Amino acid sequence: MYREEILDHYKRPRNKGSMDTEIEAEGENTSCGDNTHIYFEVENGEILEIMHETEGCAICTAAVSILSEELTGKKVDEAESLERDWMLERLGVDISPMRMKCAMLGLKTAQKAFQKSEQF
Amino acid sequence: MEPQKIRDDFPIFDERPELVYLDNAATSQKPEAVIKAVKDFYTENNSNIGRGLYKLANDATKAYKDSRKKVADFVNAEENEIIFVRNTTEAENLLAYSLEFEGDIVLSKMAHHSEQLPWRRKAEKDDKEIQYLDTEDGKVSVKSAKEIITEDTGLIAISHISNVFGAENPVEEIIKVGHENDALVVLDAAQSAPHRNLDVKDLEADFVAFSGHKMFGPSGTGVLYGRKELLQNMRPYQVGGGMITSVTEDDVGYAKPPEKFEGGTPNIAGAVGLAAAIEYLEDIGMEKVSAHSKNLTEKMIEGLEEIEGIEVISPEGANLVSFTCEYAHPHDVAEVLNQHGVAVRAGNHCAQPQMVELDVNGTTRASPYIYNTEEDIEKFLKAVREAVKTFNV
Repeated sequence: MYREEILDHYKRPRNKGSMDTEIEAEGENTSCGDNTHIYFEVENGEILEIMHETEGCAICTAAVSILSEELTGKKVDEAESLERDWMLERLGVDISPMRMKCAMLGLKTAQKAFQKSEQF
Repeated sequence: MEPQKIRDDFPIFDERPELVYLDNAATSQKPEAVIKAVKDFYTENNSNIGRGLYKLANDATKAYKDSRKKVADFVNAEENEIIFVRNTTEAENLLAYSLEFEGDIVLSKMAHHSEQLPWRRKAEKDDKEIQYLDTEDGKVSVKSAKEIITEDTGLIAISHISNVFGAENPVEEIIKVGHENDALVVLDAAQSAPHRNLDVKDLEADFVAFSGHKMFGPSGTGVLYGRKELLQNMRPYQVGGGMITSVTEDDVGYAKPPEKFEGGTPNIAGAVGLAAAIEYLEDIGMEKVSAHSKNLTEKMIEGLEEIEGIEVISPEGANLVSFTCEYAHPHDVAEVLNQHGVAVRAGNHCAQPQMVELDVNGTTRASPYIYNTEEDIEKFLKAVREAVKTFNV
């Protein structure tokens, strides 16, 4: 489960930090304490920049980090339509049922940010 | 004790010879003797109990009754003080539903959700206040008990051994403080019954709850002990068949305890299996069981303390070890251990308020039992070192 790339994203999460924006959301897995806050800069429906503050296990942190790279440059419409398999493919490792929530926290939180914002 | 030989009694280790099973605080593996007792019941004696007029029904009834006697003797109680339930959770829920008492409730901060939530719901329903005993060095604080327990206290629910820390709480002292204030004391013995002698008369607890499945019994078996004069005055839990003396259109007469609290067909085969589990434990001897768990835990604690980045949460003398890793979430540590064939539990151990107080997002917990060997402990420590190496930045 802990291939090199996952560990690298866990130890050095990309796009770490926060920004002043209305398109943001917080997400938490209360049962394991994973939490993330994701921020988006969007122009004409296109995601220009993503920042996040994530505290969690390796799977959760790596997933948010990978997500922040993958979603940059994508259209919000497209990001909203992404599903579980897309995230799992990006992670490229077998995720056990118990860890599925960790892997999905980032994508769920990102989609929550778009839903919450009245711009889309 | 020879754990290597004991392993031969447990078929799961034939199926999975490489398994290092250190999640015994969650549930234990089952010896052949228990599996056979359950199988034999179904193949030789299966019938419903208490109502059939034929020999087979009598045999099944006797098997169930004998099982209750076995449990009663094991904890030094009388037969009519032993109620069969599904698990400790059900025991606590039964009590919180059926027991009426004056006064407020005292719980502990380390309480497992199962010994916390039934009483919180009760407090809400009956408008009672709840106070929590502090944790001090992984044990319930006697000092805090002396401060919090007063004549306004009606009931105290505490763990004999916490499933987070694994250390024996000073329950005798707390029970004494409780009784001095005329409060009832409920003891959650889920983690102690599998590991040490449990004498309810000696302990003087009013109620004791434990799970059969953590002490080699089948899943779905648990026990509630209650002093008979208290049980007699409690209202029934689930009403239905098997727990009445007479039913007319206008009136219902309930059976005496324990039947009063065992509405419907019980887990007969489970009870038979639990009796076989107790027999198995008694053959080994509870002192030996207790010494073995403590000895292996001590070795784990010693080994863990040598690993940089690991912090042990359990105090000395515990029968399981909870720890955190500076570089990794407990789930990640457990995952690496899993990759090395080592089964442990990680997370909040159904004690979220305690985790918040400890200011951790959970712990990794390794809990040994009689089939664990020193080799298991070496494999466990090696896997923890690997986990640290994997996540150390």
